[in-house]
Amino acid sequence: MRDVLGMMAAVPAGRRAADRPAWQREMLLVAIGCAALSTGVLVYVTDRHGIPTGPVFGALGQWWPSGVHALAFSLFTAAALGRGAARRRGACAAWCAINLAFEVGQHAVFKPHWAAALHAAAGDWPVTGPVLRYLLAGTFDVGDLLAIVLGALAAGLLLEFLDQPIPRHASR
Amino acid sequence: MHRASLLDPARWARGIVLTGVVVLGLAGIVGSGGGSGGFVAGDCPPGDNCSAPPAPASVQVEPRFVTALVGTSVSWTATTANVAGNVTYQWSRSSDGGATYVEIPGATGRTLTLPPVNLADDGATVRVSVGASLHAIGHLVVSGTPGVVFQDGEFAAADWTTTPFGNADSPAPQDVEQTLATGGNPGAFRKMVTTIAPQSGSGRVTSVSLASTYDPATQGAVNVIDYAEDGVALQSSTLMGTYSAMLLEQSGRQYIATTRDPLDLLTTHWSAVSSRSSLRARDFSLIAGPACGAAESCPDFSATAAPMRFGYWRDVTGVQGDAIAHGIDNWKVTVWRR
Repeated sequence: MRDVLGMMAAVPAGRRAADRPAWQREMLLVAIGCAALSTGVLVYVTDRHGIPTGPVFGALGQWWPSGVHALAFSLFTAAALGRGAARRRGACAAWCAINLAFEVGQHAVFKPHWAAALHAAAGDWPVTGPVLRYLLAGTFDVGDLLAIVLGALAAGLLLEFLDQPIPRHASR
Repeated sequence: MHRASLLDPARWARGIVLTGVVVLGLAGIVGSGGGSGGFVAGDCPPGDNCSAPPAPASVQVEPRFVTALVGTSVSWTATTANVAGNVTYQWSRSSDGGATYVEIPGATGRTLTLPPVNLADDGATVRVSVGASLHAIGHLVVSGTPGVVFQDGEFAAADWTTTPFGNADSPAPQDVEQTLATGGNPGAFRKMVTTIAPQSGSGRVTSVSLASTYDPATQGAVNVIDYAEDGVALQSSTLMGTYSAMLLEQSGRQYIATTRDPLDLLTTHWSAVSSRSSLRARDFSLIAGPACGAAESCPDFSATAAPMRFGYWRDVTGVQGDAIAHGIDNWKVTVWRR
């Protein structure tokens, strides 16, 4: 896949390559991330909070938010970290791992242990309640796991593509 | 070299942005509710940020279901939310199960009162219309004979039997009950402490009143059942919740009244929870006992049905090892016959 992306950004003869300006890269990543995230929010507004128009996303709406969350926050983090292959991959891997951990934490096998450990470690700290409710009341879904991995992968590919040097005319 | 890079404002700014992104990302995951639909306003623990999108305009009728004895008056009250401008009401009535409604002349107030009802009113449905598009419905059941009432506000230990309820997914909790002379609503009440079992995030308990046997064969077929109880959660932790429902026991099966309405969450002050009127057999769901056969009515309200007993069901949520205290008072079941 890297080769394909490399070919797409290959520099034609007579041109030379240059990195996209940092501000442009960051704005682009944030814009794409926000756009993706807004579609996830839309699922909650239309399909999960029961607006009068009824479900819009259908079955896709079950997993879409999980996927776009991993994608969007990988892009945001990559924007904050700056350029570099290790940073790109680190951002995507980190959000993939975080999302997977939270999802797996909702599985019936793990949730009592994770919740008990959290309760013991954090007590009645204000953040504990919502996290415990997330673990105990949330629903584990294999589809979410797949969506998270796909979302992080999509972010990784997008970053690889956007961080390729962009061609521009050679100076005379 | 190191010191210089630590003082670099750009590096600090990048770190702050990164921290913000991580916090927002984690908040997004937790705030989503994990596919449980997110937190709803009524279930939002104090202190938590459970802000939901603004609710649309709505109207409700209270009570939604009412059972009345012939010769008594019945009232319904409409409550609106988020309705802009002047609120106008128009009450209508249906005698064909809600297929068609006829406006009641002059019934344009927030409250509708029917004069003393008779058997011809049984099954009537009233509807309030607010503007052109908002409607809510109230249902009426009329009985010619007084209801058979079972109630308990004192909770003598010998009158009740309590069973921790477990299944393959959720092991049975430990449960301890005691009757306290004070602190109820008012006076005596029954206190329960349910300890959540290992490997579980919830614990369920069924309590049956030994003095509440109703035998349809000798006392008549059941038409509908009214249920009321006052409940309280005896700790303020936001990590724990207690739900309650009416319990019906018949022929070795146990049912709870959860089909028609969602469960109510107990609060830290005494309140009427799980109060339901006009419960029919279809409003109960089987929670324990043999599966219901195709030719069986479960539960059976007919005149040939087996005797039934009543009680209540509690479901506590929390973390394994949590000892969750909750109380009940003014438990009351009214069996209305045909």
